[in-house]
Amino acid sequence: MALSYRSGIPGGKFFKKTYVALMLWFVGRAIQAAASFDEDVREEFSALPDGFTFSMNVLPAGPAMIVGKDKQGKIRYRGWDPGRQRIDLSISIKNIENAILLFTFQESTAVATARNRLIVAGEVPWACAVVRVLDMVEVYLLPKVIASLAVKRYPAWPLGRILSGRVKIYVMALLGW
Amino acid sequence: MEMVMPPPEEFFCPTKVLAGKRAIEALPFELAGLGVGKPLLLFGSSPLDRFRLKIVEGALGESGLVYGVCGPVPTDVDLPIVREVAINYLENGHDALVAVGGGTVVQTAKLVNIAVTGRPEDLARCVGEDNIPGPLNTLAVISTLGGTGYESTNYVSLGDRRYRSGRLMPDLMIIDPRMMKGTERGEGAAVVVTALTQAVEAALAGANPFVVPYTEAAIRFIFERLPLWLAEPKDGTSALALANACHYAGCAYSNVVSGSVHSLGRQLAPVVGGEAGAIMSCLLPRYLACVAANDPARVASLWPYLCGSEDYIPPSVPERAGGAVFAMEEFLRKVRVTMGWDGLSLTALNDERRETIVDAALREGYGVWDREMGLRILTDTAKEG
Repeated sequence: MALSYRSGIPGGKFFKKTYVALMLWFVGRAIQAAASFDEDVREEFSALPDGFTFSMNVLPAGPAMIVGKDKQGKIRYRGWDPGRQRIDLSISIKNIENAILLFTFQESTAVATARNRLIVAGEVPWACAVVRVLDMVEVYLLPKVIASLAVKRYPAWPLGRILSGRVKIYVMALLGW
Repeated sequence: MEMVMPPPEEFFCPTKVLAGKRAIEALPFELAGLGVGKPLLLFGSSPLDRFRLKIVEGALGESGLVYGVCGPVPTDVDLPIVREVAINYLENGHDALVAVGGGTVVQTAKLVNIAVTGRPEDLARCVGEDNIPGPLNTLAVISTLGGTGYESTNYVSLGDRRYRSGRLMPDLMIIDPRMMKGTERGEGAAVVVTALTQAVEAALAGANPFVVPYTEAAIRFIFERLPLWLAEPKDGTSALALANACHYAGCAYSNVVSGSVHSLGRQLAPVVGGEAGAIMSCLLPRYLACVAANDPARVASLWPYLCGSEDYIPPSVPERAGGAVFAMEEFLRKVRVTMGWDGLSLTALNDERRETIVDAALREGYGVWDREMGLRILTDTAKEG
């Protein structure tokens, strides 16, 4: 059998990319919402510098989520395009399949980090703070059976806090408050 | 207390390994880190190889990577094949090779890498040991549980030409469970036994403590997982463990001189027929018995991996050596029975032929191991049948 040669152009993964984009969009708005009513989330962000901005993106070309402090110190979701924003901390997921593992909760953030699926560019303490915020947001967003897969340790919060927080976070994230 | 300088040691293993679920998807990122812009994928000739290529191309989705695909590489590699792949590589501006699979695909990739990094004449010039003058272009291997057992090593051959250099070792080895699916039991078992031979001989070479973790991991994984995989070839966890073990054994083998069983197995394969791994499964216990007779402490060092030491106080050195030989013999006997491999029939070989084979094997191993032991291994194996 003779050897053949052909060029290859990799295809797209439209549905996976769309799913991850939606998840990042919603989680970004959920972080903004959680920072407005949850004391622990506010405390994590208060320890970060003024104007702190972080991004979570999928290599090589997105999707992405950017969240940062505005001039008043409020946490704002800033879309997916960094544009000319200064990014203090970048958490990059190496490829779309790793992002799917993360956002379908087959792996928690801690496990994904241990398996070298993420790259962090920025200060490690800031990255730890952001991961703690993400864990708290995931506890609000997801039922316990799924959130337990996503976070390192499910917190012992009162049921009232979880349920009231869950209603608030969904309403505020959908409405963009 | 007098300070004692350790003897000079050298250990070289440049391969980055990514093993586990979805490991192939990391390929574009890793290639970018190695400065690769346009790799050339090589694939083999079986339907399973084409299926594996589809998996790899699917995994590259959304990566933006531009690549070429060349194949199918036949099961016998010769200079015209290497030349044709090299021409495709150079004319289309590729800067790395990705071998999808094992065996002749990796063999071709290593040879092409020599030709395209320097000049095509280098294939003649670089024959032998450590004759490759500089680093080669990037080579990535997407491993399967099959092939020859030399994919991870610093060794490649083209007909009578043999090349051995650390520069031939892949820069990147990806071990993904999806690539293990569909592996024939015979092919997989033969490669794993080859890896076991590499690991055991590297462990008993005793020259280099850096090699020990690799040999221990390889032997343990093989002893634990090969019976499970033979019983259930769809067991992805066992297949992944065995593929990892083959890689560890290859790394260890690349840092020691080729041992007697390994060399004899390769020399006997074309003479008596059958896979080299199947032949090594007959020779390895005899080799251990020979070494144990002269130096039981060396073989006794294998006892924890082969027999287990967690539950009770280890017996004396001769008992441990005997236990290790027995454990290896039983393990390989069960593999041969499961695989339906016949015993190695050496009765047709007269003394002169055996001596010729041993001398050829000795040349391959650079004359390090004992000729008399090689003859004794063949004689004892012939008696066993």
